[in-house]
Amino acid sequence: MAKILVIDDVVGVRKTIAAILRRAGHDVTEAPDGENGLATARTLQPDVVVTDLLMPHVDGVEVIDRLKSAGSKVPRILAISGGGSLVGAEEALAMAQTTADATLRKPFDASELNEAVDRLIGRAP
Amino acid sequence: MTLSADLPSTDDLLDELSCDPMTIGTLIVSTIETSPVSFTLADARRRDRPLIYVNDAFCKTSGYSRDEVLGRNCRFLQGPGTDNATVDQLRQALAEGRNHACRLLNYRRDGTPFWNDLHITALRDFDGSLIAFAGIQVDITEQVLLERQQAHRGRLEAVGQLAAGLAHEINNLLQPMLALPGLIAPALPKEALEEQEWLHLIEEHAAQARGIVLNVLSFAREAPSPRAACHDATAVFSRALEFVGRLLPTSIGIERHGLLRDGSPSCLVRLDETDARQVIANLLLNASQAMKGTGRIAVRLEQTGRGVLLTIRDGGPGMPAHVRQRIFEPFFTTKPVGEGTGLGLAVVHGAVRSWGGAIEVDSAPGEGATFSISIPKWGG
Repeated sequence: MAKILVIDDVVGVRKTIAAILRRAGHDVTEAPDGENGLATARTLQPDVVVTDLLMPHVDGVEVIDRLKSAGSKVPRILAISGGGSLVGAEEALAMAQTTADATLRKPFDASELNEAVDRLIGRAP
Repeated sequence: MTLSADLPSTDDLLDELSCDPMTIGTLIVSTIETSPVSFTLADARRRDRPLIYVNDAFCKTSGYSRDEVLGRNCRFLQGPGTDNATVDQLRQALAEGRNHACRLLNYRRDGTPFWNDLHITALRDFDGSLIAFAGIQVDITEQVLLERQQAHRGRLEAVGQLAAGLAHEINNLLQPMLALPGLIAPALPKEALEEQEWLHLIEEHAAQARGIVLNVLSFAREAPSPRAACHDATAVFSRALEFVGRLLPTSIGIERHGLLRDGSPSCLVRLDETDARQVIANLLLNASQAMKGTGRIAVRLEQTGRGVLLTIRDGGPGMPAHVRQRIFEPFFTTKPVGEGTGLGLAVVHGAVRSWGGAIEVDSAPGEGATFSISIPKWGG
């Protein structure tokens, strides 16, 4: 079981991801946007952060950069995207390729998500 | 005789050039004769307005000699593709003795069509009676084709943007439908078999929708795929053909021509090999369906100055112009409902464009179809 923070501005997507991960036995906290997610991460100290990339205000790329440079405990990060009206999913995921620990293209099914998270926990120190 | 339009008077012109009317006449005639623009003169007083003069440029453009056209009405230039409404308007203007301008699809002596930008001026005598129609005709075929190509490209771009915007929204909407049924199923009582089946149906349809969205996105894609790499064009398309050949019925024969025949290397192209395979699969499967599963498909690869040209020719029934013009648009299909999503060729178009290439189709009813894909060489 891992402590996981899910950041996505689309409620249906966020709740779906949270539901899958809770069923898989993880302790899941949700955040509705990047700024909120960063604040929650500071107090929660999650093992894994699942974050959408294209969000208003603080986007996922910035969330990842700030989490990675935060100092104390750096979580493993799974970046997810289905693309936006200006950026395609592949381009968005490519932007996070070097900073995130794994990427997943939306929409994914439950097993794809669980496998990605399991790999991250398995590799986590 | 004078022109009906507001032109400088003949007297002013004579003063300006200080020469006699005969010389002026000769100058004008020789100017018209050597002009690169087609010029015709039709007798407005005789029945059916026969041509009484055509210049050299007219003969060159139309392919007819003077002897073949003088004494005939100009309508011999019209053909099956000439727009009747435009011809009616022209006829009406001539009957009323008015000046007229229009764009008309005309045909040369050898039957090839060309777009004619036609300007007709009614020439009147001093007393105002109509004597002749002067026609100035410019071959604007290239311009018309370019305009159509641009309009077509604009249309595809607009469709692509719309599709991409829609697809991204749908990606988020699909997420719960794709992932939650798997969580609900174990919570259902074992005897609720029907409900289990319904959940499975939701999941299955969401997965299909995901596939469609992915295809729409690859049509709208402008940027090269992140998996793009440099390949020898001969090698990459030979491999694709080999792979796709296995998917086709044995009653379909694939003929390899050009570089694909001897396998000699061509030049490096930058593309995603999975895309290349999908492009070949789509085009060959379409061709096979068009030929009802029996016949030969000719695939040719040749080196060009800019890169390579890949052509795929089938012996199917071909297609009319209105289908040909829209064939790369997403969701455009001629197949019966349920047999095709109308995305195959849109995906092909998107993939080729992401290689920096272009795809065109040449086809007419009864003449099969030829798809030509040009791909620039890497670094070229």
